[in-house]
Amino acid sequence: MNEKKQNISRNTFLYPSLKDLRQRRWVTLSFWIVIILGIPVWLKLAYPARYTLPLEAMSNIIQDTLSNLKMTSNVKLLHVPDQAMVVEKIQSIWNEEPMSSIYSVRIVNESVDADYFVDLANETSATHWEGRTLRLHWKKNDDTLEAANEVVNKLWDIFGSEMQEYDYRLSVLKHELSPNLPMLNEDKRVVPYSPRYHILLSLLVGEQYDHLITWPLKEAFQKHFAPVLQQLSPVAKFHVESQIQFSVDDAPVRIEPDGTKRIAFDDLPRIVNNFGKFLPPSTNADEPTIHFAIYIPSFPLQPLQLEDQTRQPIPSNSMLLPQWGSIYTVNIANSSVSALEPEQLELSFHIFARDLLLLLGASHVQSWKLNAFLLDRLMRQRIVESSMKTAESLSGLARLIRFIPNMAIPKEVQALALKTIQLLEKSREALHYNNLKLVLKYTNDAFSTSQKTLFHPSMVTMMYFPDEYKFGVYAPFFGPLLLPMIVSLLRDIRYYLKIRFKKQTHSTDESR
Amino acid sequence: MHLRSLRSIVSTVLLFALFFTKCTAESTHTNNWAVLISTSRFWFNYRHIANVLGIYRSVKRLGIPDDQIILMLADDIACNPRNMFPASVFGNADRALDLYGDDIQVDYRGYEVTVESFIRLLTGRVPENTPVSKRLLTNENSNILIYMTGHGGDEFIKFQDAEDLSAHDIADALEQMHQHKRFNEILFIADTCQANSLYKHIYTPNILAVGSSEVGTSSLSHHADTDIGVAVIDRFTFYNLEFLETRVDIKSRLTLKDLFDSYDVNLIKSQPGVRTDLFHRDLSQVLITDFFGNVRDIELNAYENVSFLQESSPENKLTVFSPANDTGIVYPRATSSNTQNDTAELLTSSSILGDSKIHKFSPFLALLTVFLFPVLLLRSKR
Repeated sequence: MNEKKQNISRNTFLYPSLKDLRQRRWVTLSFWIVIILGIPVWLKLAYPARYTLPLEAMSNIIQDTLSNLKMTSNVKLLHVPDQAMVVEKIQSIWNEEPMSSIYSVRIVNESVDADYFVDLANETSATHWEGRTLRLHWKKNDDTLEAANEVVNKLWDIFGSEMQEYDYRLSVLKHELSPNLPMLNEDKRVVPYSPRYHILLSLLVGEQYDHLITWPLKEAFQKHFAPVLQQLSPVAKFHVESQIQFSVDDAPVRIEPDGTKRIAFDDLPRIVNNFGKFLPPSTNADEPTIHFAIYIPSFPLQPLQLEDQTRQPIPSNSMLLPQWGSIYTVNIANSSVSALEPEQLELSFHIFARDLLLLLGASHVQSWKLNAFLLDRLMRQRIVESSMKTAESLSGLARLIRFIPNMAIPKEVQALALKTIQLLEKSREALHYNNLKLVLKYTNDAFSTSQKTLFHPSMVTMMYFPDEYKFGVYAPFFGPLLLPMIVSLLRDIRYYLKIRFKKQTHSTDESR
Repeated sequence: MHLRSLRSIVSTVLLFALFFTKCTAESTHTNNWAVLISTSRFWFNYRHIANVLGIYRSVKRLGIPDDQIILMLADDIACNPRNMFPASVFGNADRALDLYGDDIQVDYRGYEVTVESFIRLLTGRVPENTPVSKRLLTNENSNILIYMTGHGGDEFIKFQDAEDLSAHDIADALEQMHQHKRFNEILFIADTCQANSLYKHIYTPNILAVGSSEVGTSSLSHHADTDIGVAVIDRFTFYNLEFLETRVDIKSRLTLKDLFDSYDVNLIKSQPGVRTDLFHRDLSQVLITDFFGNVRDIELNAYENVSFLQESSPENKLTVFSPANDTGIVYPRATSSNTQNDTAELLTSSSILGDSKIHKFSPFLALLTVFLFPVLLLRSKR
């Protein structure tokens, strides 16, 4: 039986019937059909989705943004001593000053469209802002030219630093500066840019207390700190939390010969590292944390004073840590105190409010009180910064996409990129109406969206067969497989051609 | 001469001077981060965990806080059944210092240490819900120390016996970081076999790279502990740690040139390499604490004028300018991530076909059908 089967199978191989031949042909063809149909489907699935982005627009976005970013402020002079001539002189001298291409200040004659007023009648008190009016303190002079020069110099002190800062940032953006320049103090100090911040108010109580010390936070916060945050709301949103930590490791203290207890300047960073356990970074990556901490040392270490580099005590007994926050050291009256005094909290909130302004980007702030000009300046700074950062992100993304042709670009990234460009255009339109709050809202949204676009998690996916895999894995894998298939296909084709040829010769024979 | 024109001339001259001076000595970073990764697992790679933990301790001692250190370990040594000293990892046979201790913070542990998570960490493209402790939140003013140890070869480093990271991918990831302004300067240290090949393909400026051995040679371990039974530290890391622990403290002014000059080829028994062509500063002016320590500038000149302390608070009724309608103050947060609701939907509806895992199986599926189809045909004949 076996032998018969073997004979039959060998016979079908050596002497195939027509049916066997057809079946064999179908078998070979079926392999090839699967390959021909399957490979395009496989390739279509294998290539990660790469939606088109407006790369041209994104590459040019820095130029577009900068050319459209033009802010102006109009200043009207009040109580000018000798009306017409001096005003004209002041205007002509002022117009020769180098204005930034992003922001310029004009001295106008009509009070209708003036943003700020400068009152020149003031002679007694120092220069200060009252609402939108600047009471300028200057030395009166009979000579109109000298007077005009003096006024222009004073105005430049107030308005000029902002323009110079924007010029500097513009040069940095265009890579016109040497990369090894020392940084601006502001850049070292200011918290990383974000439309939202998380503020953590901490009370850190030293080790050697046998009872709890608290603070009347809610009332003091509502009275002294909340108004500042409310006034800053066009600039950024704040999410405030508070905590109390007991038994905190005390700072290293040096006792002077006359008995006063000081923390040396060199030890100040160590305090921060000690407190670092209790002052965590934000839990939300989109909201940088700003820490404001009140530290009550253990009673044996009181009264504790912080020292500066020259070994003099710091009047405010607090230190500002750039990009982080500030710590204020409070000394209490006696060891049985169970809560901080409201006056102590008021003082601490004044310090914190002032530090907050410094950390947000205001410079040369003498007081914690906000004025309209400072608020506008903060808004302008943030408009410039968010616009530049958004444009940089988009053009960086365009560069990256061009550089890595295999990278996946999912649909979300396309949607986010288009939304970012749309928001930037909206902010440009809003700029025409000089509505700083609206412009800042649009540029903040554009910034958040651009960050989401740039750091989208799925842009790490690439084609999963790199070059070395093609030669090392796929070639030895598919090569030997293809060999019998090609051979059988060729054999079939040859046989088919032979039959066709035979048919033709037969037909020609028969026709004869 | 007008006062105004004199002032403007002086200011323009000063501005020009500022724009064109080249200050090479001062470092311009404001914070320091460290990414410390050991890429191997299993008991016999004890020394790689000990390497990383030794560097981790040094870096913490020199001031970098835990929030700014990303520690990636397989973390399977301390509680390994073969560990004679449970919950301890020692870097020295004298067992004087327990590197594991009780306050280390491992950010990526076990099977989370993969090539993908490492690249995502560096480029910032982490998944949406990644906690802050697992993100590298650097900016353009951050100096980063990247220390990698494990088993490596010519232009690759092995990750947990399952995959490898090539030198090209490292270079591309660093370039992306540069494009997205995620660092000021990077010090890249690799302690693996043939480590010098890992930094060969880097093309991004401001990166200083150090490798422990030349191409074709191995990095050797230093010594073994007879009780633990395996080697406990590698030579290159051992001599680096010796330098850091004995000669460097927070206020040290020692430079990287001093560190690199201290390498003794006879002791390390391999040829360490340093790549400086991409680094614009002179090594003799780069402090070790520029990378291993942390910058904590305290600003006190803000307090010179403290007259503001005597001012009184504003009243709640704001007469200065109109208050915004929204207070901008948010009391306790109800839900997290309330800004991502518009993109969350888009993310969850991404097509399954876009997932790379399916793609890996599709050739096998194709082959399966290719073989099954004729078999079915043949069977029908009988």
